[in-house]
Amino acid sequence: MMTQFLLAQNAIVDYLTSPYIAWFPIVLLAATATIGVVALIYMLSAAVGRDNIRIWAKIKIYEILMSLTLVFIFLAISTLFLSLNFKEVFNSAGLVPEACLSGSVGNDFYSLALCNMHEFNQNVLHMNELVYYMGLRMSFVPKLNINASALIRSTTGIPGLGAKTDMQAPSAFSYFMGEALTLLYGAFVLSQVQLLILAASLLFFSLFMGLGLMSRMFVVTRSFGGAMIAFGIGLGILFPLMVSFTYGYINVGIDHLAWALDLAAASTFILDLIAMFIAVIFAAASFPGFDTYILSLLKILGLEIIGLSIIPLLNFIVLDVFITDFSGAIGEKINFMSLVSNLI
Amino acid sequence: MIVIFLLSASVNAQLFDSFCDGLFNSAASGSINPNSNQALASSSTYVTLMGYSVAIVLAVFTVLGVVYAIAISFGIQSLKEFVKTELLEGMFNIAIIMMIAPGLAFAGGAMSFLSNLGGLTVQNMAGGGGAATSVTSAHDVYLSICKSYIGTGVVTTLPYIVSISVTMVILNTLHNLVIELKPGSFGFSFSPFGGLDPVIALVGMEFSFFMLMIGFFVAIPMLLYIIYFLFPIFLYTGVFLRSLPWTRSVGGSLIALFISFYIVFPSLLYPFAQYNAGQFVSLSLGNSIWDAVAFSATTLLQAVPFSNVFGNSMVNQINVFADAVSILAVQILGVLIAVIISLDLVEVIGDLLGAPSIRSHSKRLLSKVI
Repeated sequence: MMTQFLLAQNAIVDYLTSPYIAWFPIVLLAATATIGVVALIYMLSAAVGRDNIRIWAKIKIYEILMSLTLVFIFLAISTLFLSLNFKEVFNSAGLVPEACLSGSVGNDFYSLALCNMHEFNQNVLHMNELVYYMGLRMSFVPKLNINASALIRSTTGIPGLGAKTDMQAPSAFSYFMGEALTLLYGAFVLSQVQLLILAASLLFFSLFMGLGLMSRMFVVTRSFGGAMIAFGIGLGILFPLMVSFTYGYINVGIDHLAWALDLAAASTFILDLIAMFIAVIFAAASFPGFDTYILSLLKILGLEIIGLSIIPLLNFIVLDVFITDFSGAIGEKINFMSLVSNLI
Repeated sequence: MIVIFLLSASVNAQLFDSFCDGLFNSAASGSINPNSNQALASSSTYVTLMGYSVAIVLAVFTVLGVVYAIAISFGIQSLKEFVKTELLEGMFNIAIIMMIAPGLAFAGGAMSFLSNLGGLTVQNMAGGGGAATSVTSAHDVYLSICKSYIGTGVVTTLPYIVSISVTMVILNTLHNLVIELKPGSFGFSFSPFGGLDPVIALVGMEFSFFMLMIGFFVAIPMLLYIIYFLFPIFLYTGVFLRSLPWTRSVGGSLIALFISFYIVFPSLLYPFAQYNAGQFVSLSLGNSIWDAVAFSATTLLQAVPFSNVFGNSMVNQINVFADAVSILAVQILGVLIAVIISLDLVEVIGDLLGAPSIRSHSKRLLSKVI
């Protein structure tokens, strides 16, 4: 899936600027036409002596010129962002996981964000695999059958008298194992959805920015255009950057502890179980290697739980804050989260 | 689940101290993300960003000077007012940059003040908070909360998991016991401990609860870990964005998020965590293998039909279990209070810094208090 995204990514990066460039002459044409109309209104207002219309027309011409300036600024920023080596910048702060340092992953922030999201999902999958593996191994823990019937019969001499029972691991263990698997798989599916949204962020950027910049040229659609630009930058630039930053941090943390996700380590771990319990019963020594393994696993689990719960929330809060505030500053204020929740 | 179950077997306080050190000390041997943590927590990482912020503010000042000259030349009053407002905003930005330039020391000062207030309150309360100590930096607060939750909460709770697991094994084995009298393959059988079902259900509930408790005590330090290392970037990015007129409100929102969740949230959590450390001392649920055997034997005697042996082990078990529930309830309450107040504070600061996205809608708690 990752390869498909990255292959598509190369095409999309090329495609990204094309609508922008294709729409650029239209934007210029629209600006010229609107300025022409407003200039006509300006002249007419001067002819009929309506000062208020004249002032209005003057302001509108300034606004259109300002919008045109914005087009150039955004074009410059977009080009700059796409040409920057984000992998190097993030790596200097230790925020790029091992798998994303590979040459096959692009240096732009879209590739970095996609790689991070993919890596995180792979880490969750490994944890699922580990839980499943341990669950399977648990099923090999034998049930102890205690049958005292023969002994009782031989001792008492009463035919047919007997007593038997089973000693087994509590069913609560398997129950919790099942719950953990269900939760992790459910969260994994949601995380994959996040990956798909991230992949679409390029298209959002392309679509909303083009639409927004063009809409800002017309007097009646100016505020709408501002809102679309905020959407474009929020979904197309800020969201991938936040993903690169937050999931990069989580992934690098898991990288440091990745050895604990190895199934071979888990096998040794399960074999150590019996020795551990015997040792604990007799208040015996500690097992440093075993303790390190447990703590590493616990930290990975903690990082993954945070990555599946708090981090998406944090990313969307920051995205909402940006879109709401920035759209208010350059056009019509829109509440992103309300819009999304209404859609859902 | 297995991880926690096995963890319970290897529990010792020193081990869990290393867990917290690994989270909050970049230089510790078990540290997660040692490179990025050092980079993110160091103010030198953000020097360039702050430099850009100052440059932008100065550029804005220059532009404002030109605009003010135009306003004076053409006598445009509204433009003059605009320039004055923007100048004040610019100066405010410079003040913020000056304040955070040395690093996050100011945050540590505010946190130690707030946390020590809460800590002293807990110390003065009878029966709790013996572990409350004075803190002097943000790092102290985060580490102290972690050690309280992990070092006290988890370390105390994990042996209960062992004890309860053993109890479950013993009781289930007894529950499965069948006595048969079938001479000639025909007769009867009965389960003398089939009536242990309610006790097994109670112990199962305790097992689930302690698992939840451990999950909570591990999740909160992990959340604090993310806040401790990731949220400083919101402060610096917020200051940077605040220097640009178009993104000023976004910057204000990010600064509000930082102040509320990096400074206030853990400071409010600190006294609850200290209270937690004090209360666990009084929890006297049997936590060894032999306690499990003793409890099983006592309940066994109670369950024997017509035995007429009515001890109080079940009553004790339920009482102490209720104490454990109340400890967790207080902690959950503490987290909820801290989250609610922090969210309210985000709105208050959002108002102050001109961030419409997080501006309140007249339902704010703090607006009624302040």
